[in-house]
Amino acid sequence: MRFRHLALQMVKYTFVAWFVISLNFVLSRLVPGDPLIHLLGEADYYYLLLAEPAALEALREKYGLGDPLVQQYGSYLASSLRGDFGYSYQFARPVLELVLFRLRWTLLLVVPAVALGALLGGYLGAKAGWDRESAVGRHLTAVFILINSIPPYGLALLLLSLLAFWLGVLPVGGMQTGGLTGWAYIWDIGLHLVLPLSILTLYKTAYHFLIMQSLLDCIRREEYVLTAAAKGLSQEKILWRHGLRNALLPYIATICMQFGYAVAGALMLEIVFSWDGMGTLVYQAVLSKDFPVLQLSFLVISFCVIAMNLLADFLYAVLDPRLRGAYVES
Amino acid sequence: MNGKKLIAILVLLLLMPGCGPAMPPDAKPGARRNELRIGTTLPHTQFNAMTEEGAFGKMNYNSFTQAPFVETQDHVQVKPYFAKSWEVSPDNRELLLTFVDNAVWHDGRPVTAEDVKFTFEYFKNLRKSTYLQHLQQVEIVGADKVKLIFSQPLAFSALNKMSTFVFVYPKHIWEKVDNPRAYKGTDTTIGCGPYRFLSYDQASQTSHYQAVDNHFRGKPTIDYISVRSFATHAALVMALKNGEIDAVYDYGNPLEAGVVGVLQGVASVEVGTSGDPGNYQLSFGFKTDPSRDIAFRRAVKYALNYPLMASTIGGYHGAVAGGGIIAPPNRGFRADMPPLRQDKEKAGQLLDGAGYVDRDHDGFRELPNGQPLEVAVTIRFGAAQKPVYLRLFEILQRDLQDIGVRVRLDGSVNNESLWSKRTAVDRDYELYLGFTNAGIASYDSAAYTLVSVAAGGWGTCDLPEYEAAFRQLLASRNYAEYDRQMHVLQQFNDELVPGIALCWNQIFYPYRTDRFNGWIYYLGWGVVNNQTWYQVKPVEQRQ
Repeated sequence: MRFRHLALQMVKYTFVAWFVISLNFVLSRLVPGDPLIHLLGEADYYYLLLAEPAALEALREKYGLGDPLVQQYGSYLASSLRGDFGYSYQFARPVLELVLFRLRWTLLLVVPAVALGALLGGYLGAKAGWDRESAVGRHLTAVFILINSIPPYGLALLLLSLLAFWLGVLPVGGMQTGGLTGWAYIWDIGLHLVLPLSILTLYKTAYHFLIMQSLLDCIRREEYVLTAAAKGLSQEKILWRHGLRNALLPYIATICMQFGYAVAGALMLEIVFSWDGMGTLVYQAVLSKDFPVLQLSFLVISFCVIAMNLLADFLYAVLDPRLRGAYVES
Repeated sequence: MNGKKLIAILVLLLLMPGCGPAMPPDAKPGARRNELRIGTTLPHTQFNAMTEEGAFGKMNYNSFTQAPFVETQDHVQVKPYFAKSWEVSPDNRELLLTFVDNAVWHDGRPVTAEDVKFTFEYFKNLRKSTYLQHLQQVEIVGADKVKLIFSQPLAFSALNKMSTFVFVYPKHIWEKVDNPRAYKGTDTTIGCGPYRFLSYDQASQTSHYQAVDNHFRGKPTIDYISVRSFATHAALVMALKNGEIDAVYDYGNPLEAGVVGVLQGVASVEVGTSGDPGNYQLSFGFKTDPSRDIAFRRAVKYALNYPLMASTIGGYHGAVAGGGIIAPPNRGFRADMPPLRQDKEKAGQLLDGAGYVDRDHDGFRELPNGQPLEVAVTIRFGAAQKPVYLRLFEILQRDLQDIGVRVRLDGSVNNESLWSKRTAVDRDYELYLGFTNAGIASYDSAAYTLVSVAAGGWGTCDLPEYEAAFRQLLASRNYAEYDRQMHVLQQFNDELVPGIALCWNQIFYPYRTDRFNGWIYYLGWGVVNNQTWYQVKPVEQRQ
């Protein structure tokens, strides 16, 4: 039974994956504008358009942009299965190499931010939600609501101006200085990571704080909490042993979804800090109508969301005894 | 451990790397003593000498890794580079280039006449570039001489148009390549310029270059160049201020006054101001009424609030433009033309006299034939300057409505395909808020954007006098003729009003003076130019 259930899940996710692959193909071609402009340059493109339209069409055929959509889709599917995602129009490099490079730097920035934000936000949110009248509850709630109302790029620019521009204690942007090796290289990356990571962590913390606070605020009114208190357990023990365990399920779902979408990068922050991640890659690809890059970028993001959904399903089954029993039975 | 302690420790850990004094410029990692660090917002996309894309492509406009045949210095006139001399035939249809005989490619092979012939044939047959329009034939007439034959009397014009932008290419690398733009070999950066490409660090978005010892112009004064990409102008300015870069190069994208303001008074930083050779402009479409009517165009000219337009575009640095549409830094500019001025009363009188009256008393005029009058304004499509164009439209709309002309924004404002079709294919716009960039302004001039395609331009103006003047400009055989024709064009522009310049603007390319000096500033271009490699030296060398 378990095996059958697993097999059904795999079929379901395979279908979802195929659907995502096809949707990505269609979406990237809905972007208006002619990609040839970015291949040829504006001046040459318009000159050919007027003076030698036949030459322009010949170039379109050469780049495969004139093929019927069905043919383009067939080529796209076949090459995707081979792991060949083509070359970037803009960067003239293999798309897979480009995306993997950018993904690495996005993960370096976003994964610690989401993890730290989840831990910090969860801990503080639990404390605040359990006792709304405490100093933590009152003050931090106001602070994190305020932070959530400020656009991240606004705060980023402010801190960048203060710490990098006026005080000069941190680099103004980029991912590293270049030309360094060993510990100096690691230290240099750390220096460049401080500001963007701090800001992203701050916002993730605020987000998770408010979620956990809301969850615990509901849970503390449950009858089993009252029962536990009546049995003589301290509030601390009730919170961490009973309250948090029940809040974990929806909280984990939120974290998993955060990780999934995190691969899309934090575009605004990447621009402010000149951080060459997935966010700026997708943005540049949209502007230049770089179809191969768009396709793989969306695919990677979609698969991450699917993978995190799967992980959330699995964690639910592990953490929730009610589901675990049903899972085994099915 | 309680929550407060945990928070305090985490904050300390995050801030620790930032503690300590800021490092002086020379002490920053990666800054070799004789390394000039250039910052740009151009992304590092491709390293292909056959394209003009990205930081590498645009840096080559400064005679960097590639050698142009001729180069222009500061919008004055072309100077020799790879071509040491030239002759234009009396009929202006032939251009004889004599080039240096000791140039060597970065891979050690000598540059020959075959390379030169290959280059021009590539531009003629494969690239079909606007730089060498009407090139008919290329002939080798000597070991160091090549003749270009044109189908039209445009040899002198071609010499100027290709200046800075057309480089000699190695035949032994590119002749075997079907599609140079898509070629991915390791020799795509090979040229015969004063610098060779060394490496690209993707993580720091920095490319590195080294001086060529045996360059035909001599060894450059700077041993190493690094070019680093930043996402925004703000990051660029911060990096310059902090000493992470020495100069800024951003082709066609100068820094705005608002961003550069923070550099005023900063030690060892020059703001680097000059007039902008390009300009924002309002163009009239000559395919429809009322733009075809000279009375209407003159009325619009008197209706606009020019000081407001100028301050919208350039802030305190924007000045009211003259009627000639050619910006001050350009060759042939007429300083005697008075600045444009607003006179709504006169505008109204012009419209009244031409039959544009409000027959139905709704506050708006109708066409002379009684049909409703509503003018559509198309604005240049582009994410970066869209807010400026939208604001200019608002001013234009209000000013024209004050004289009874109803105005609306064209639907192409959010549709690039429609905008391309309207401005490049059908050319059926009525009023167009656009821009002449520094590249076009350098020789073709802003008139190129106004005059019809039939006359060799990009616009719609088919007035015989204007077309004839532009053709004469392109057919100039020397700079004296060119200057004369520029004067004529500006006079026609003021009288016939095919277009109106909206601002004479200032642009900024800041640079530092603590590590290098000897900078030469090109108007509208900045201190990173084709003279940088032979004039700029580390500060110690000059002492």
